[in-house]
Amino acid sequence: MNCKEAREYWNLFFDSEGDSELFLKVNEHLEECSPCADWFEIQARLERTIRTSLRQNSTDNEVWSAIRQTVQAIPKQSPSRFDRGRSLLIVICLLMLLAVWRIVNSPSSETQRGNLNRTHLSLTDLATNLHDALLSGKQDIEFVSHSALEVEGYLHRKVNFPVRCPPRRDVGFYVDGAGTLPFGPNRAAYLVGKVEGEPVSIFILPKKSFRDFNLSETFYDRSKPYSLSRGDFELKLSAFDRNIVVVVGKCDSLPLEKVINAYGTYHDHDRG
Amino acid sequence: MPNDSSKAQNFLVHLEPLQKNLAAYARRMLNRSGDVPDVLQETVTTAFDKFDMYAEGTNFRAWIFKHLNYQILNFNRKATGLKVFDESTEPQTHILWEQIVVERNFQSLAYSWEHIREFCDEKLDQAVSELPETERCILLLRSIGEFKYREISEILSLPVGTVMSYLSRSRARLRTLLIDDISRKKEDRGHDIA
Repeated sequence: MNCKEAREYWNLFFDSEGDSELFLKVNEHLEECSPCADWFEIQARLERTIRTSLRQNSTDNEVWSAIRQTVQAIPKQSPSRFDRGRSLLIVICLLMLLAVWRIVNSPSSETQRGNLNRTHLSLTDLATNLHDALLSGKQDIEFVSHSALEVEGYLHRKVNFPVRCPPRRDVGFYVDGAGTLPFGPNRAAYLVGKVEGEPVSIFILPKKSFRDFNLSETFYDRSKPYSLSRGDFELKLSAFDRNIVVVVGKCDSLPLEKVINAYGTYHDHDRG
Repeated sequence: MPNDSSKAQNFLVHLEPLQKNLAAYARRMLNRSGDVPDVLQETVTTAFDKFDMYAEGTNFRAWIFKHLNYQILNFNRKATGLKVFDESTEPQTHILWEQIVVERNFQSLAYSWEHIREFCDEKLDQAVSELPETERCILLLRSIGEFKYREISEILSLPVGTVMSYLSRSRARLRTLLIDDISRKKEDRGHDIA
């Protein structure tokens, strides 16, 4: 890719809209061409400055307070006798369907939900504690590097389960290093870096870890990551391809969601 | 069936994180800034009324912005009596000529961050308001709403290619205005353009 081509794709690159092959080619060009790297940086800085300025808002809090009160005060009409009868019929049908479903399926869903709450808690507690350890220096960072390609290569050599490409700078994740560490009964790969200046850790486990944390695979079968808070930390949990991914940091929810959604979006480098 | 208070509570939980961006977007898109509270009120009322049709777990942000955009169009149309979106022809898909024009002076931005901040504080509002309506809408949905191109195309019912072209064009226009402003300031202060 030459300079003209790379700069043509700046909008797609900055907005994280291109495919993984495009990002790889552009990043490779930027690593070799400092004028283009400078050009990209100036463009990005300008866009971020404009964006920050555009987001400034002087709307009075009282306006929103009044709007919220309106929502809470919107009356609902009393149901007519016909509506009540219809509602009762619907409830009866639902109860019958539920009874049939319970006969067909087992075990008790309450037990499974209880398990989910407990083990979901332990997965997130582990992630939070390890993030704290990495932050405080109690856990050394194994491999220090600011290159996404280098840390990916390091993890491929070190771990014995598939690991995909880390999130990129264009989604706001600036990598500082990587490594592996014990994560409950397993071993996890981790990435450390910054999002909006705040330290963030990303833990990557093999998807079969579902069983070790007593989770059902369908629990993570969602298009959106799960969001949780533990103390001051925000967490995002997701399953992607053959990994469970946990992102921990003190940032706002939206930047962390961008980071976890970007995991693995380069073309696949994982081992067989 | 959820009761009224839980429905309201659920709706407000979805709405709260977006309040700031909704207001910023409305303020920048409306022809009359005094309409912002009314537009927000209408948007929230209409959206809450239709909240039963919203599917939990789907894109609430795009859903509420679509309602907001609809209200903004109505208010602007009433204010000006004109159709809101441009009737100009479909934009070119390649607008590199604009980037080439600004390229010559682009390097001056590298040393003018103070001027850039001044521009953003003093003139960005006006510059954005002078953009053609469609370009302004797309720029703000991207910059404030942080929507992907596909989401913007769904909100505005425009092809993705058009969204990309308009966004690129609007950014190029703002850069041109910015560079012209910096050049004028430097001339006024007796400096040579780099």
